[in-house]
Amino acid sequence: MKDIMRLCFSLGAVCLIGTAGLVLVNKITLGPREAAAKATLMEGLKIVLPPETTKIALETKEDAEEKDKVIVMDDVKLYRGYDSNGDELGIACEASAVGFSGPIQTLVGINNDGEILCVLVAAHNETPGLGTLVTDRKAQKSIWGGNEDSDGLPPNPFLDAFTGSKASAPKNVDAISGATQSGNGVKNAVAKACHAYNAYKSAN
Amino acid sequence: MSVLKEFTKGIWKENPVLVLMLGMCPTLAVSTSAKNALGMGIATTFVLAGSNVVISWVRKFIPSNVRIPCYIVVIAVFVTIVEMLMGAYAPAELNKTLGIYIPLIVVNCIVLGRAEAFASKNGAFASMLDGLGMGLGFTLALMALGGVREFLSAGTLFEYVVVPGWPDFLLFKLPAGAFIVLATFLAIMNYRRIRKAEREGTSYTPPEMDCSHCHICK
Repeated sequence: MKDIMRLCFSLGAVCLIGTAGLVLVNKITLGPREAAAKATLMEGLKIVLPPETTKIALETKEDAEEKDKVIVMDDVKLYRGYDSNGDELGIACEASAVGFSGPIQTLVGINNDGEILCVLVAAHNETPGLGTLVTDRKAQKSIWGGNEDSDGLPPNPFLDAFTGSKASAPKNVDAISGATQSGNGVKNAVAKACHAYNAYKSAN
Repeated sequence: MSVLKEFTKGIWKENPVLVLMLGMCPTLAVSTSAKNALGMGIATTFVLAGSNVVISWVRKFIPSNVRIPCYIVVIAVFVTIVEMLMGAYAPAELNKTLGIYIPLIVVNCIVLGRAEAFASKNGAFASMLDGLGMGLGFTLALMALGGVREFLSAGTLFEYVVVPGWPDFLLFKLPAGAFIVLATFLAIMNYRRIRKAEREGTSYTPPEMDCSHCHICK
């Protein structure tokens, strides 16, 4: 009996100390982690919105000006992009859907004609080499040279297949072998984003 | 055993993938390309060395009956802390390249295996060297596997085209290809050992057929 108590105490102590350590580190790193995630999101928004965009509506405070506010439809966030004259150029929708391992945070840029400009995965936990086939954009390089024109956004056949289709009826993109679940996650996220965009447009 | 031996044994003689058969799950999943293999290897080496040191420090306070659950807690806490610190302070590019591998390591059996077989019996410095050596061996084995699979599936190495116009050979990108390449590697390793044993006039038993390298049930 005494032995069992000792074992329980040891295991409990290890768990408690571990939890305390995690809580502490979580508290310390929460601010910087959120800042890093926001920086990644900003970078993504700039990519998916039309290139002429100079200002993005990012305010989440209630008392901010209507024009500068992020629109929230269900759990999708809509960021409006404006040019230097203050005219709306398009909307970037941030939507998440569950892939193979956890949510896939997807950004969908839609222009004023309701056409999908670009789809980008901002954050995910998919398996490298398999799930990432449908989430990561990477440039094809060659050891034989000819890598000069790799400055633009690197291609991804799966994500690029959405480009050009209408938000009212997003294209049904074929799955990729090895990344079926992850691909479904991206597709669901794009569908959610388009649904929110359509709801917003029909309300305004 | 000398200090250098602790480090070098993981690279060839006790290679975690090809000899100890540890960490098969990430080996099969993440060896789709040489670059993925390198990323996974670096992340694992770091975590392995770190967790070995931590386990070596706490080994005297943990009763042997509950050591395995305690090690799992310690390793999971260590990996989660590394993940949070990387998300907060590592440059975005590094976090994007290595960060995605960290969650895969939390329950990696190489980490638990080395904690049990080595770090729980040795000092912090030797444990760190063991972790680094095992990590390096894991990285090299994974890169060899990843390189072969990437080359056969797409004609590329480290995402650079080596043979232009190579037909897409999907089999090697998918899990079946991982099994085929890994089995070939293990067959070559065993063939070398059998030849060596024959030359020395002894017989050879593959080490993975017994469990002498593992101390969990002792």
